Amino acid sequence: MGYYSGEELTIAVVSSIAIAIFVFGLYIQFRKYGVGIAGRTSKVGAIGFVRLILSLILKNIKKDPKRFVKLFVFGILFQRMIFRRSKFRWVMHLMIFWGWILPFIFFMIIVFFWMVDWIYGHMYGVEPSIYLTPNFWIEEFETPANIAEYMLLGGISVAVVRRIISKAVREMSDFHDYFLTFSLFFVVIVGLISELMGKGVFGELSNYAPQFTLFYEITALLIFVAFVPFTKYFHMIAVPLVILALGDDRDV
Amino acid sequence: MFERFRCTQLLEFDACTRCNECIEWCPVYQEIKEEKFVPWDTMCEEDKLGFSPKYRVLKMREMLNKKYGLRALIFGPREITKEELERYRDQTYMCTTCGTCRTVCESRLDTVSLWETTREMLVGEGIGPYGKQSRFLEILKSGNMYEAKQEERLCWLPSDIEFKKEAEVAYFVGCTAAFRAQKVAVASVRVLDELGVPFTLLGEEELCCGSVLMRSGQPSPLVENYIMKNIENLKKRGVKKVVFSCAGCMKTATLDWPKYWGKELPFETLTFPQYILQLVDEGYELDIKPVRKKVTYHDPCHTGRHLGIYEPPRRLIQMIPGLEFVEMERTRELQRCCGAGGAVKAGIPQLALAMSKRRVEDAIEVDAEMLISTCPFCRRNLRDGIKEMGIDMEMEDLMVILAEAMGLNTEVPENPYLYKS
Repeated sequence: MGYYSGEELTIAVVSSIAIAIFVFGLYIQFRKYGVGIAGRTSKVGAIGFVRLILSLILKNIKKDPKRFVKLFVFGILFQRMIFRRSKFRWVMHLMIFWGWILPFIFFMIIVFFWMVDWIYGHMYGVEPSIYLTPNFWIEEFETPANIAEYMLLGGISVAVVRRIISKAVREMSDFHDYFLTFSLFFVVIVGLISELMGKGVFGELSNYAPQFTLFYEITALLIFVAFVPFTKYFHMIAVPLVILALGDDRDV
Repeated sequence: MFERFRCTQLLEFDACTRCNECIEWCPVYQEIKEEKFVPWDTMCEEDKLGFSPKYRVLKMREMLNKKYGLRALIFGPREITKEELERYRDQTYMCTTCGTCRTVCESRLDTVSLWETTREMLVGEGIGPYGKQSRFLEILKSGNMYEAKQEERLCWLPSDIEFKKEAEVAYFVGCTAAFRAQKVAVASVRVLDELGVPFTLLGEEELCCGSVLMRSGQPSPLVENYIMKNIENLKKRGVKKVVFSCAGCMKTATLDWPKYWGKELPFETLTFPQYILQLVDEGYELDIKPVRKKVTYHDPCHTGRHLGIYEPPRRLIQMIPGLEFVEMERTRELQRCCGAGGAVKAGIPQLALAMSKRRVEDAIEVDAEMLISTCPFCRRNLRDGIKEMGIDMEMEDLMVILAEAMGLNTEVPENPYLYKS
C-alpha cells in the first residue's frame, strides 16, 4: 500500500479489463443457476437468478432481522462453521479472509477517491480538498493495510506449508485447490517484494521497483478480480450468497 | 435435466470449498473406503472417493459446467454420457441421506435436499432409482410399503385397547410399526391407554406418509394423493396433535407434508418422547418400575439431525429408574447413521447391514447392554446388525422399554404379520 507503480493509465486499463472479465464471468455463472427453478418458474436466466437471490435475502431480513445479522456476522465475517470443525483451519482461513478483504475495501475506497479527484480535475478544473484525494487515503491506510497483508501472508503461508508437509491434505487437494493457494501465495510474495523494493531494500535491483510493482498490480488485478468467477475463488461470492439466501434454521 | 433443481441449489454446487469435512464424517464413504461394502467389482481409491459427498457435489458441478459453463457457451455444450449418469446414480443412491455432511458443511450446503433433488433428476432422466427401489411406486399402490392389506393396518391392536373415532390426539402408526415392528405400535398405544389419553387411529385410512418415494427421488401424484388424504382424514377426526413412533414418518409429516398442503398443517406433529414429556409437564404421572440395564441411545437421523429433537428421548430414558445411560462417541448432530434411511435398506441391504454393524460397534465400545432408539426402521436395521455379528446385545424402541417399565403388556396379538415383526 505504501508503494505503487504510478502507472495510472495502465492500471486503469487493466482494471477495466479485469472488471469486464469479472462481470462476464458472473453473468455466465448466474446464467447457469438461472436454469433452475425460482418459485414456480424454471429457466429464469441470469437476471431472474439475481432477482431471486435479492428477494430471498430481503425475505430473510424481513422474517427475522436479528437472525440475519447473526448469520452475516457469525456466518460470513467470523465463519463460525469453520471454527466448529477446526480451530486451526479457522485461524488460517480468517487470516486469509480478513487479510484479503481489508486491502480490498481500502482499494475500493482509494479507487472511489481517485474517481472523485479525476472528476474534480477534469470536469471542474479545480483541486479537491486533501481528504478527497487518493494520496491522502493511501497514506491513511498504510499501517492497517500492512497489518492485513502480513495476516494474509501468514495465513496463506500456513496453507502452502500444510499442502507441502501433510500427505492427507495433499491427497485431498486437486488443481483447483493448488491454483487458489499458490496463486494467492504468489501474488502476496510478489507484493511483498515490490513493497520492499520500493523501500530500497534490494540495493540496485530496487531501481526496477516501478516495473516490478506494475507487474504485481496487474497480476493482483487478474487473479483477485478477473479470475474470480472461473476458479475456486468464486466460493468467496457463492458461500455468502448461499448463507444469506438459504438463511435456514441451522445455528451459525 | 437440471431444471428440477432450484436456482439456489445450482448455486450451492459452486459453493463447496472442498474443505473435506464431509469426507471425514460420511458413514457411507467410511464403509466403502474400508471395503466393508464394495459397490463395484473393481474399484480404485478415486472410485471410492466418488461416493463421498464432496465428490458428488463436484461431479454435479462438472456436469452442470459441461452444459452451461464458459466452454459450453463458447464451443457448445458437451454430452453427459449414459455411463457417466449410471455411475453417478450408484454414487447418489448409495447414500442414506443421513445429513451428516449437511451438519459439518462449512459452506452450509443443504446437502440432504441436494441429494433428493439429484435423485429426482436421475429418475426424470430414466436412470434412477436404484435396484429394487424402482418397485416402490408399484408397491405403494397397496397403500403401504410392505404390500400388506390396508384393512389389516390394525391387526396388531390388542383387543382390550379402545381408540376413539374422533380425538385431539392421533397416533400415526406408520407402515413399519404396523407390519414389521408391531411391538412398537403395541407399546405406544399401551402407554397412551395407561395415561388415559383419548386418542384416535386412522386404521385402514392411514396411508404411507410418502417418505420412501420422496427419499428415493420419486415424488409422484400418488404421494401427493396419500399425503392429502392423510391430512384430510386427521383433520376430519378433529386432531390437534399427531404423535409418531416412526422417525421417517415424523420427518416427512413435519417437513414435506406442508409443502403439499400449501400451508401450515392443521395439527402439531410430535414424536412419542416429546408428547410423553408434554404430558408429564402437564402433571401426568408415570408409574415406572426400575429396569437394571446399561443402555445407550441412537438418535435416528430423521428426528435428530433433520428435526433437531435430541433431548426429549434422553430425558425420558433418564426418567426410567435403574437404567444406566451412557452416550456413544458419536451422538446428536454428529451421530453415526444406522444405514437404513434414504431407501438404502430396501435398495442396497448389504450397505445397510455394514453400516448397522458399525453403529453396533459404537455401542459395544461403551459396554452398553442395550441399544435404544425411537424409530422402528433403525430398530430393524440395528437388530439385523446385532444378529449378523452374533453378539449378546438387545435393541429396543424407547416406547417398548417405557411400556415394560410401566408394567404394561407389550405382547403382540396373533396376526398375519407377527412372524415378520
